[in-house]
Amino acid sequence: MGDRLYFEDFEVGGCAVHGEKTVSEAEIIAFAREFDPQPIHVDPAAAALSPFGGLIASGVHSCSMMMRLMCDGYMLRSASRGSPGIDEVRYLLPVRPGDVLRVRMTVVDRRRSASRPEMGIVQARHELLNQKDEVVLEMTSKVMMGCRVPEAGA
Amino acid sequence: MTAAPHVESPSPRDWLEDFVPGTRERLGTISFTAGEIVAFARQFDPQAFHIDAEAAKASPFGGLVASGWHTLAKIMRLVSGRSVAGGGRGFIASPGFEDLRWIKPSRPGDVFEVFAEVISVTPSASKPDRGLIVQRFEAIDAEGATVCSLTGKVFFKRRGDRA
Repeated sequence: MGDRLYFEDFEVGGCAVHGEKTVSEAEIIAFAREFDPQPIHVDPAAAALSPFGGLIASGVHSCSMMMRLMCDGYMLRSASRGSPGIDEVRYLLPVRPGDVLRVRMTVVDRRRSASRPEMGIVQARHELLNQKDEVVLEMTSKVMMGCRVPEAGA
Repeated sequence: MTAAPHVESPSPRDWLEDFVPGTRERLGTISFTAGEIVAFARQFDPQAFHIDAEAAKASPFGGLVASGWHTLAKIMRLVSGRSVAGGGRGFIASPGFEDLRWIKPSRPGDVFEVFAEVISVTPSASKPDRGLIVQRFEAIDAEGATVCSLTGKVFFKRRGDRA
């Protein structure tokens, strides 16, 4: 694929918004029944009486929805080699039924792998945005990305 | 591995006071089937090595592996279940997590034990009815190697005078 994204294409400071994804109540409940069955995620009546005032998505569900936006936005057409982990995720605002989510990806830093000349490490900040342009979730992480032109050092 | 005291059976966690720094507890086991791996990844992480067993053979993983988010979700099921089993009255919300490490992939048939160690319990300075609990969660494979770990944060209410 000619438009495949490589390490070289992720310039520090580069920023792009991808998506969108509308969140349904049924999705929130289905995910949480399987993975995070707190009343605020699975029981609309109980959630209405909570400080959140209604059903909210599990944080891991929000992360997972953001991952799908990342995949569709750039990752599936990139030379991604996966991620060794996540430095930090901050849940800043609740995600509610009807919210329309997008992801904003900013390249914070990057470096060539010292040991593997065919790849580099891209450090990125991903912000999950809702329909009011509020940041509901912020994630800092590293992705290993294949290089278009392998070279030693640099 | 940590030398913290370790409780074998998960006990319900209802209030802030139920979390004691330095204690380590086995929360249970998580396991993975190929069907689950593919179903989760089709919805949330449709990279070829998560959804296509044939393509995965040619990938650096050499076979189908679970999305890292799927592994995290299964760990969180045990964490959340412990709170819900306690009645869930003290649970408020999580502000997030740190230092999530995907050390080894989760493959079909894998079974991991999940442990939780309480790192710190900090009463809130501004809201005396609650506090922040920091815990390290680890999923461990049959050989004793850590496959995934993270530091989770959660706010719980204090039991206070409640029975």
